Amino acid sequence: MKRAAKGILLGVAITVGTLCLLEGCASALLFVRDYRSASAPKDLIRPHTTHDSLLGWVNRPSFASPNEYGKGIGLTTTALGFRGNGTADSVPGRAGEGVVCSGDSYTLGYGVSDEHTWCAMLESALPKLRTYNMGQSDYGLDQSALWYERDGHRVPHTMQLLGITNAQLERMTTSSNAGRFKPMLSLERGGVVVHDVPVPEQTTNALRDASRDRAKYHLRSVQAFTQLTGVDGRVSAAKRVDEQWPLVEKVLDDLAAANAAHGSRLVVAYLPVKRDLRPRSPEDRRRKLASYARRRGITFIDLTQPMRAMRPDSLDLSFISRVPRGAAPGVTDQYSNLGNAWIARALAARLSTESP
Amino acid sequence: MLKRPVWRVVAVLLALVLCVLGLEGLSSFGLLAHDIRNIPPAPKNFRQATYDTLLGWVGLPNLAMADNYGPGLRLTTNADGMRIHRPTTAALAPGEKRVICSGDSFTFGSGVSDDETFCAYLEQELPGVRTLNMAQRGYGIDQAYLWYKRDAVRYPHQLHVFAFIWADFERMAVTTFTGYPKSRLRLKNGALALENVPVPQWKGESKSATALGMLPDLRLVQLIERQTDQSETAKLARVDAQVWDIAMAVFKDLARLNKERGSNLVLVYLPAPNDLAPGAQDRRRQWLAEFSRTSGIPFVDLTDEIRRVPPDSADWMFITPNALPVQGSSGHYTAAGHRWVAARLAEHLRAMPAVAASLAVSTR
Repeated sequence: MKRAAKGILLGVAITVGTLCLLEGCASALLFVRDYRSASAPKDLIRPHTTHDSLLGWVNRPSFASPNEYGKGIGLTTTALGFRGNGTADSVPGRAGEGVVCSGDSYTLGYGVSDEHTWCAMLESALPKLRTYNMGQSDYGLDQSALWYERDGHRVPHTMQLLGITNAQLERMTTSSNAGRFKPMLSLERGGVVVHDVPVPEQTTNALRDASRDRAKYHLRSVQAFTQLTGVDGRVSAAKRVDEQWPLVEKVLDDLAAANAAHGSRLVVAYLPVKRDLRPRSPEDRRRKLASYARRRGITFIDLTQPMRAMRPDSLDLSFISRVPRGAAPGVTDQYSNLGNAWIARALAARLSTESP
Repeated sequence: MLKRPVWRVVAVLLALVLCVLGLEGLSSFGLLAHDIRNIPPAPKNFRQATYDTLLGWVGLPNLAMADNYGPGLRLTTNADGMRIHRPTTAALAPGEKRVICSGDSFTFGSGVSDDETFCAYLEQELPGVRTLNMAQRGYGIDQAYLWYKRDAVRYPHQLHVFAFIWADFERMAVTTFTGYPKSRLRLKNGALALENVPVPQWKGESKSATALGMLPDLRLVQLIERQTDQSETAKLARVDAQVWDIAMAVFKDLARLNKERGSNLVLVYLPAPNDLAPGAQDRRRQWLAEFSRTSGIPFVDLTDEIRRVPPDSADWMFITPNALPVQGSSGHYTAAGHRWVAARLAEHLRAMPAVAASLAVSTR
């Protein structure tokens, strides 16, 4: 009896062990295949961007891609490389109070046409405004700040509206974004120091290596480790942001000073993205930003709560879920036309109550 | 000849590799077990069907749920489990005309109230006509046909709108759907034959279907999948190879049944979110149009028309993932979507002289 039980136990153990080994072999094989076949994503670097030795990448000036995000959903850039109609920033003394919109893809309007970005729609909501879109996809706060400090003065404006997203803060803490080279800032002796400049020309090897690095996340042991420890890429990124919070504040201080030097003022807007709308999404960063803005007397507009209060179907439709044919990769979950319109209206409502 | 220490190193290395591979496999099965254990219970509004020996499931009879999909979104059924938006009798009043709508959840109206389905809206589009919603959630073309064949005979009607979406072909190929067993049709010597009947009894709620859907997380399954063509075109082609001839036989038999019952049959392809952009299922629609031409069975395909609707408007025709407080309705038509379908469909029906005459509605 005892012998039979032992035999059964042994049989079960051998079966389980064999299955585990088979599964492990399959996983290893797939990993090796994925790793070896990993290549630089073809469409990651969009034709409308070009290398920039300070920022990593910027828009090509006077560029037009009429079907960038699907048929008829175009992207054009101005002579200064801002998003918008080709002549938008080249007419001196244009009427209206100038507003520079800075930020990442949510400000650039990744996925929508030029006239549907929230920055462009601010002009319809507040006709006295003349807006300039200095948003750029995948930018960190560091890049947005550096771009404004370098080129912001080239357009007449009295306000910089800085749209901050969670991801933008996280990108600030890394020296490359999915393999794309970028500058890196640090706080040294109370001042901001720019590292990794001149930013080298982008190489496909770096992009391929980043793709290879991502292959490891398909390994089930890596997934199990992440689940068991609760430490994933996002948690690590959040930790890095928290550690570098003094740098965030210093960058914002410098931006405020740069604005003041041009006779402009800094307004910080927190742009909620899908992850901010989930229950139990982290509130710390928004609170920290609000607290910082209060201390410095900077206008801070947090659109998270108002957006959470939207009707659920409107909220769903505020983000792109259906990708138009031929659209640039990564448009999913960016603001849709509806989302951009809502952001523009919400910002306009707040700005119209603010005194300059 | 290798010396003993070298063998030992090789053995240790081999053991290490086996341990790593074993750990990877163990992690994979562990994660799968964890995910299966955490499958949430089926939403309450799924529990509105009852077992049926022929069809697998049918609507519960005499349901009256005031807030089934959310505040004010009613679900009412008659004694035969058909969704109704007004008290209905089997017999028609003198001069009254009736349209029966068959189909799946898109016709049933998952996520909208009784009077917001396109079938109900058809009454407004075709004055003087009464409609009866004989659709059921999760049905394939086979089940919708079998239900009509068995139970519609009690309800005199002049028109049969047999509506389906692309996925209803896929459902014809299986003997279970989301864990619920169903019957399946096959062709034997050119005639339709039933399989899996009486349908095995189900107990209502099962995690097995969801668990099965998690198997592709296993790397072994992924490895096998990568050996096969996983493109949408290939997947649809595999299904078509199994069910296309059966579906055509079903449509022909439906035409025969309708003729016997003094009714006209119209096949309707309802665009689902997948159809908004050109894709693999377009070929199926072309085949259906070709079948309609050769068989003479009227066919209405609303896909091209919905593609012409501006995307911003089309977005509002489908229920978004978080729009309703209950699960299972996302991706179906909103009330606006149903209204649009009803308006377009009525337009097509009016343009069919035989149909317009049988319903005594004016042609346009």
